[in-house]
Amino acid sequence: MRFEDVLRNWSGAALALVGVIATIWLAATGRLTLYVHPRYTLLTVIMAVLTLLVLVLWRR
Amino acid sequence: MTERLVDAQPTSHRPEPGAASVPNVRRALGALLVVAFLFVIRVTAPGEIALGDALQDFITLSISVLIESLPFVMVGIGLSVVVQLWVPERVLFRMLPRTPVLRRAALSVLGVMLPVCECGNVPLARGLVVRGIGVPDAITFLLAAPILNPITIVVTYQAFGFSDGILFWRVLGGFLIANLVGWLFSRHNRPEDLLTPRFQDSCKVHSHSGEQDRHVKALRMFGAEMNAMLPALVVGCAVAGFIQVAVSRDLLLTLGQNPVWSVLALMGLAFVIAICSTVDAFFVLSLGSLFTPGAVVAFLVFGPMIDIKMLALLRTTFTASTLVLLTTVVASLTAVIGLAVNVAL
Repeated sequence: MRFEDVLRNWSGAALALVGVIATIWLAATGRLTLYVHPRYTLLTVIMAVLTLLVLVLWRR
Repeated sequence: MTERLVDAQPTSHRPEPGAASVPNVRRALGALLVVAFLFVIRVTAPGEIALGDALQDFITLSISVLIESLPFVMVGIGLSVVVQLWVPERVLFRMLPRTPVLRRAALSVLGVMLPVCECGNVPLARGLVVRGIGVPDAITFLLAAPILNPITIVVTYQAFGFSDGILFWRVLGGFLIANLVGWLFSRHNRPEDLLTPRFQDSCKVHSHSGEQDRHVKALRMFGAEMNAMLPALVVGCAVAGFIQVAVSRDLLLTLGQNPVWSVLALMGLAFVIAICSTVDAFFVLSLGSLFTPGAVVAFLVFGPMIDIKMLALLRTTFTASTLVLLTTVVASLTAVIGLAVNVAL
């Protein structure tokens, strides 16, 4: 598979994975509220977990 | 409708296979480099070594915009897939008024049922276009929905109540601008030309894709939308972070009390900070005493419609000339509303 194909097919998933890991890491260390309004911390964590689930299902 | 939209495009305008994806590949590469850059700096810089203030601010601001936007983009992608695969056509088309003006007005208030912020509305609007909603109608939805949604309205009320008519002018201004812009683009001879050739091709692929298990198809579409949206989002967030560091906020604040300059200054701030429409009222509340009410209204109307991150996301779908026109018209109309509020008060 060419490098361009890898980028085209995997860039979204790779970036989403980085975002999901960063979000869960920030939430686990209690620092998510430094980046996100406290009102949306729960939504942010729920969507991170759901995105992780979709990423797993997507590549199966 | 999708067929008409795609077939109306002359063959000569279509890109060669593979050629259309080059900008996307570059964007993806750029986004991955940005993320790698941020990651390497964060990991390799020991805690006791202070990064330069500007670099630290750039990293923090970029990550902040990204982490804040990501869940809404994911909600938007999910809703887009649902609209494309599970919403019956009769719900989409037969329930909407046939008269264009009324149809756009109805689409403006669709945000009441789909409460996501502006970044989530981009994939959703793409899904609507793929399903056959007209391009001007989708633009109207795109501009109105972030403002005319219950979360934004409630948060604005919590921040400002009914003082100075800020909530009223935000809702009314958002509705009027979205519909005026939709009407303006509906005058275009070939509205499909407002879309990028690549997105037009993806509409065609959607309309010709064969029967397949809908859940499998949903996952495939989710992946494709992620590939289109996330590189643009990351690049947009990095640019927003960079400009926030580069542009002096002190300069913006010194313009605050002038009835004309305050409006333009807060519109500029809204463009630069790229904050979600669901929380922007609380952000600007802290500046409320420094700026005129018209400027606050302009911030709350312009920000959800146009900002750096939104332009990066919209570029996946619309041509550059469309976005220049869109930004110019929305900015002009917002400035008029902001100035009118200042004059009235």
